[in-house]
Amino acid sequence: MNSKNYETVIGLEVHAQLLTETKIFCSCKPEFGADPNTRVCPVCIGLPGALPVLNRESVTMAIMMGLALECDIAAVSEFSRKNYFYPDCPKNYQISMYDKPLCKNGFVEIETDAGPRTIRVERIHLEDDAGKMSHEAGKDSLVDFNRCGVPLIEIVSRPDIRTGHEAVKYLMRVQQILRYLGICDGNLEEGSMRCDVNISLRPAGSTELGTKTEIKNLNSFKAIEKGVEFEVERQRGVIEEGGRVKQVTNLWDAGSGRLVMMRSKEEAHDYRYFPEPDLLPLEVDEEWIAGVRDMIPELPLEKERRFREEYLLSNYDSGVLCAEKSIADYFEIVAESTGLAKKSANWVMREIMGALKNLGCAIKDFPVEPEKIAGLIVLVEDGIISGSAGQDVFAEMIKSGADPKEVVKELGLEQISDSNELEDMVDGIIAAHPEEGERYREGKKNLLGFFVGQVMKESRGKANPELARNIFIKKLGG
Amino acid sequence: MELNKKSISELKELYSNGSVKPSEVVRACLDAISNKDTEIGAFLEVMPEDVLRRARELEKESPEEMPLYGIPIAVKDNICTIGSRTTCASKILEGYVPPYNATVVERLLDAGAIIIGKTNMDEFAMGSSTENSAYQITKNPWNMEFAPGGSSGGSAAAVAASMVPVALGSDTGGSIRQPASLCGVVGLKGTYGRVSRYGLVAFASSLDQIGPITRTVDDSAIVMNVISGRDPFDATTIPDEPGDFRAGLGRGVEQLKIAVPVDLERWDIDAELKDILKDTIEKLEEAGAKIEPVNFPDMDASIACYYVIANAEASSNLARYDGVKYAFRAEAETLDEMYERTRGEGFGDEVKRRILLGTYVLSAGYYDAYYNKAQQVRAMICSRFEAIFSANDLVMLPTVPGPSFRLGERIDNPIEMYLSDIFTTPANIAGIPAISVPAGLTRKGLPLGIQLMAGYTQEEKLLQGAAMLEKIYKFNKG
Amino acid sequence: MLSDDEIKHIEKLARIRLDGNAREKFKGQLSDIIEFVRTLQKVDTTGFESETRKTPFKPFLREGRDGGELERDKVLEQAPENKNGFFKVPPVIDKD
Ligand SMILES: [Mg+2]
Ligand SMILES: [Zn+2]
Repeated sequence: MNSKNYETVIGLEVHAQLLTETKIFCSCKPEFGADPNTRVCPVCIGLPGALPVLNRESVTMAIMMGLALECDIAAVSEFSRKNYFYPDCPKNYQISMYDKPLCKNGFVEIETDAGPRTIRVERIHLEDDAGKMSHEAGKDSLVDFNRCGVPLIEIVSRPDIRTGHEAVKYLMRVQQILRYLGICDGNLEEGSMRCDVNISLRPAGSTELGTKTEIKNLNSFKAIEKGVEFEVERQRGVIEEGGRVKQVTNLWDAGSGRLVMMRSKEEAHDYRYFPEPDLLPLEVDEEWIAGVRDMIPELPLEKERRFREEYLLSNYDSGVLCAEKSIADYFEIVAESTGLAKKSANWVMREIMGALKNLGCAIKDFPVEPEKIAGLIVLVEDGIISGSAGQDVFAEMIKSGADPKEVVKELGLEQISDSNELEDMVDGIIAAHPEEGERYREGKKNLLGFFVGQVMKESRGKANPELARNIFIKKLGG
Repeated sequence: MELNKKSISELKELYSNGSVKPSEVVRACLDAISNKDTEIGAFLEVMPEDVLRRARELEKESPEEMPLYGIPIAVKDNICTIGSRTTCASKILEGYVPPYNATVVERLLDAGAIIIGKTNMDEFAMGSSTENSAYQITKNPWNMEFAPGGSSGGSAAAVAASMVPVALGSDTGGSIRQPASLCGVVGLKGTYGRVSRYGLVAFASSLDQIGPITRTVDDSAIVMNVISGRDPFDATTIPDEPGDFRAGLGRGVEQLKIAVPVDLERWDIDAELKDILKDTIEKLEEAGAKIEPVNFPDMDASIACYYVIANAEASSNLARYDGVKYAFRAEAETLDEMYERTRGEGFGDEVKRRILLGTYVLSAGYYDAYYNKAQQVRAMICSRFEAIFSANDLVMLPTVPGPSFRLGERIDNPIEMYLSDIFTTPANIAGIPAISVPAGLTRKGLPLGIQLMAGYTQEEKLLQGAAMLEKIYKFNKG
Repeated sequence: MLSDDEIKHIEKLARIRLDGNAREKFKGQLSDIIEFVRTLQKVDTTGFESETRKTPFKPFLREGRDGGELERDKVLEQAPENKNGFFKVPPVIDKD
């Protein structure tokens, strides 16, 4: 994406809704999709006289993210008021952290096609979310305040990102960590995680930053990659034609797959930030931080590393399995009960993840417990059932959730591994095909497959093919 | 028996010996209101039926368990009361009925008080004469051509005219003490955070305090005992439980160190008031107090500091009155037009002036020179007071430089009006408690007041001193 | 003295529209007030630069979970205009 003359400089601002029990400054319980204006109280709707009181849980979650991204946690941070008029903001100021954020100086490690990269994180701060507006062109607008006061953390990266691809990788990593921590469901489409992108171009080798533009409304990974490409090309066009990039905000229009410029404002914003007098500075002591540190689970990169070392999995496999914590947890139960890491990994990555995709469900709603999948893998590996019978059993388990052994019994799929029984069958087949036997002995060894096929057919798939093959070799001689 | 003229402590006595009932007291107050208030204009709203119903309900309860049993009380119209209008004397809140009670209102009701009505004020508590009300002018009961002071002018006039024994006011830069002084009643502002601000429509969040206006110091302490204390809905309330504010009332002033300004001549103080001050100093010394002449070098800076901080906060606090959620909205075709016209027409001149000033001092390029500088001056004033109170128990000053002024006399000169707050704003800037005690009348028959201040959370001492002043002036009069 | 552009800029930020006469009056009064508060700049605040807000007590945070939600009708009945459970406002985008 970088032309040979220009370097792209990208910074991301990610807003993540925290999954706290109540809103950040009041006791309302947030609920996605509730009837409009039913999750509001004097505080979050900004009634005259109402005051904010900070919710401890939201601070704990913000610290958690700060620690996960290796930030310094400020002993004293402060909320400020960001003043601007808009109907979705009932007080006409947002309570946000300005010059004294809670978390500073962290980083995120990402894997890109060009290798690993470290993206620095400037700050993570807490703020309250605004309500939602719906507009009809030229008509009145409608306002729903339910989302007002839902706690947000804003994660601000340094301008270390160079391509749309890296932006997506960064965002995926941030989303993954939020989900590992269980503090945000990270849903771009529903807006529980939102991303604004700042982009500028500069001559390759230069260290100064060019004029940046902002893209908002990017509600999918695809939109982010496309939107960045689109804007980079646009800016390059402007510069190459000898023009100057203007500081504007663009909206991504998912329908047309294009950027739409918001009317550039004559006056720059002047938010008139000042310390929020209704809240005292936020003090976070070592004890609180230590307590939060104990709550942090193993994070994706650590887990991937452990999977490589402990289960001897490839980079790729551990990456796929650790993408979601619940999948990784599922895998670990399977692997622990089978003792067969690689086989378990294959099962989880192919069969389980395939089935999840078909069912369109998350692993937590998957009907088969990992212990039962482990049982199934062991049945196949021990040769009790064939690999293909294993697939049938798996399909049945998804339907009924039953124990694999019972399914095998019910369907009569137990493999014939009894030598005597198989020898009788082999004898019969050899007797029935003397011509093929002759040709085999004359050197057409690949006829072995034909004979094994016959025994599978006769046993309706239950014969242990390995065993049958060895008996054939022994009996056909040559 | 003129029940409307009784103090709280007298009424409590009458209730506990069973000689009167709440409905009789309430009736006496309502009669006083209907006789006098057409002329004085203290009340914006009185609800006679609700009030009598509540009085009869209380008659089923025992007076012993409720510290304000059957005490009629008037509430300034910037304090939220469920089901009755709370307009802040502004057109922009015309007809607004809050769906919740301020914490102080809840506490008063729990204590058995009867809220009798809402009192007039300067719009959004901005002013010192109550002439900035969008609805009516309030007159000084001592002379109907004179202002009652403000912004709690309705509350002070209602108590001074014996329409109620007690009224709540709010004090941001003297708005309880100044009208108390001008109306010859007792007005107390506690330590910042002593009384919950939840449900007090904000003017300047870091300065606002609700407090009682009463006819006696003892009554002031009785009301403070009910309304003080930590509120989980106001994060700026002081967590420690306050003691009994009446505890020091009978102690006298022996051994108390009282600081007075070295050079009273620096300020343009009314001659009669100066005489009273000198006389008071002598009487206090006779009573055993130690008078310490002290330098107050920053009194003049404190008023500029006050105007910057108060109005910066106000510009943000009053942003929510925008025509979207409640009360007044001007007709408009577009959103911006609605905002600008609603606020242009809904706010009165003084409020507009202050919002514009507050916006200016916070805006880009001016923040450091005004707002930030004012915060530094504030920190300096706080530390000066700390030093004074490390060596002294109380500070004594006039409340206002002189008696009341004629209605209309100062309305077109904002700065002159601001300067009359010179002795009251320092207590708000420093967050310390202060009280105004009636000190007698001028020869023309207008009340004068003397102010005491005490160190942070030292209300007990403050009231101890105030009780002595009350005794001195009663003796004077007698 | 505030210029016309300055006062218009402040009006815009504060979303308060003054008509011509009022603007002239306010311009004069505001200029006087600004002049008055400018005296602050002469105060020597050396040593008070750093922290603006010291708290004498440890701030408390909310742990409680009692919901305080209001009934929607109570919220909407105060609104100048509402529609289908929403607050209604004039179009955000200019009509031209
Ligand atoms: Mg933000
Ligand atoms: Zn709420």
